[in-house]
Amino acid sequence: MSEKKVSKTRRNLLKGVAAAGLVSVITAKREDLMKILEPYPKEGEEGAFGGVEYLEINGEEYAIAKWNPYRVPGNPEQSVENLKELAKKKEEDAKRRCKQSAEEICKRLGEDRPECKLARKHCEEIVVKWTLAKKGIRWAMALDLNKCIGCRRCAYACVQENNVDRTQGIEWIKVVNLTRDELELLNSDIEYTSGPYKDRVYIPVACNQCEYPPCIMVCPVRATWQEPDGIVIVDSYRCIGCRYCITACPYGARHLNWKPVSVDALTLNPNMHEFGNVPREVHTVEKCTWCIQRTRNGGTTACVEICPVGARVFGNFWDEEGPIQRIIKEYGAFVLKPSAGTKPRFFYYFGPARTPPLDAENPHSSDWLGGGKKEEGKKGGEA
Amino acid sequence: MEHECVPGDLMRKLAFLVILALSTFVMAQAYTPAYPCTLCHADMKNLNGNVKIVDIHKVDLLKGAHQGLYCSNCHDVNNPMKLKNGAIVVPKKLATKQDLMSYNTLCAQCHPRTYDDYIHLAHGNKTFVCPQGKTILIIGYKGSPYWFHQCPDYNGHFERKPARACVECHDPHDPVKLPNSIMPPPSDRPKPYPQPMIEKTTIILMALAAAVSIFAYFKP
Repeated sequence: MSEKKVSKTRRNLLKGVAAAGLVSVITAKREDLMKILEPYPKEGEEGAFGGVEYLEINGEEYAIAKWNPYRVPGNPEQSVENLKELAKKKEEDAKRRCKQSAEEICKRLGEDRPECKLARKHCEEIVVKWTLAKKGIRWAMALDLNKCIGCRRCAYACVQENNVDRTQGIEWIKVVNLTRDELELLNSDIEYTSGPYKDRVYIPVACNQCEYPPCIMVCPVRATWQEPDGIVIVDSYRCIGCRYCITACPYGARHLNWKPVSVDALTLNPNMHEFGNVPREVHTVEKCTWCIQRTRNGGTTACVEICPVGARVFGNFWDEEGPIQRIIKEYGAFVLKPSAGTKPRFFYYFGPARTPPLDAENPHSSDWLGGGKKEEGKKGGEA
Repeated sequence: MEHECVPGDLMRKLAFLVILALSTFVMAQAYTPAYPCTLCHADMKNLNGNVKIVDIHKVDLLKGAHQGLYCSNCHDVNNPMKLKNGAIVVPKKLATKQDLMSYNTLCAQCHPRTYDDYIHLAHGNKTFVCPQGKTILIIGYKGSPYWFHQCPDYNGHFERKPARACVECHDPHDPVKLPNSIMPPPSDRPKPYPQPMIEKTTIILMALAAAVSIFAYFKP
């Protein structure tokens, strides 16, 4: 008897729970359910991971990430001053290191050489900016894999623009060469010397500037955070070189300076940002910042500018009339490792036209790809 | 009257000969040996637009991506200086930005999708304009040239205006863009350690660890 009663009550309870669930699913708003699924702000409400604080400077609205360690909560003026002070410190440091290098050059080559004068002039030109992110902007990049020829010009430009150490083999952009019929990483090659070929795809891989960056979540000292415009940056003054973030990144976008970073006054880029291409300290992590020193002031990145075939596109993700939305709507796009759940903002797509490869029979003809296929089709039609 | 006419004719013939000679020697200006076109084509009404090969202008429409076209698809038959969209042909070296931009709508007739991309800055997105700033050429990483910007503020990125015209990157008579040379692989990458060395060192390390643990076990 008791057993039957228990089973009955249990069944009734289960029924009640099921009914309650059904009622809640029917009555709940779709938006609320979507919020549970996607806790990150939706379109229009831009923001960094951890939240954003807005402030106004000269009538224009800017944003500071709440995870920014230089932010003073509730006191935007003070946080701006902190950032200014940091930029000043970093400028002094960069100038000091540049002057050391310039004096070495002058000693080696002699005082009268033009190189010596040029190096000294470069050191004086160094400006470290502290530009904040504008409100309503979320940067994104798209890359046409049909146009990309894997010429590595972006990798070279990146090294020069961002003052990356030349002696340690660090490159923020790596071009991976895959087979075209299946994008299998096992058959990849990054040491190729000739190309492009008909049956290969060239995928330049850099930081994907994810919406949920796993690298910033593991940082024990909060040396890396996401800016309100989506750029994940590293502050080399705070970084302790524990390399947790290198392990956490699924794309291999972060690199450690194992040696003191060599600063060459002749090839140093004087246009700097305090969280971007300012010369890094030893044993700190560095990564792609989408040329924060250019894009914050309204320019495009160095890789976009140098691309000889125009494969790269850079713009505001929320902009309905902008290039990124146009590409996603017109051609569709995919991201690397979607299963990692990081929501990258670096989109890859196969565009409408392809740059003719080296092994094309007649590269000046538009139908170099379908030359063989056309004949086959004709034969099939006759039969 | 006759006396005046003869030198004019002579001059015209001379000019034509000079231009012919120039066109054979000066290969740089292949398509436009002389400008304006009225220098040679004084009376353009007799010209035929349904032509595929024009040797003197180095135009061969039998091959290339535009092989299905005739001259008259883009040029006006009576006046080749005039294009079908109303723009006037100016050689690339003499043309201003406005002239070059005026040819875009002609390309858009057959390439509407690409033109839409271009308007949305999704095709050839080189919108860098820096009015007050300057650029410095640097021979940097492995001898590759690079231009540094020194700009207080960049313009153009938010203006949504394409910075370059179609004909600046694509030759209008042979529009396929050939791939550039491949840069050498960045060779400073550290090489992985040889496999036997890794095996040896792991064996040595494991033996050491075993020795240390045995020592620690028996010591107290």
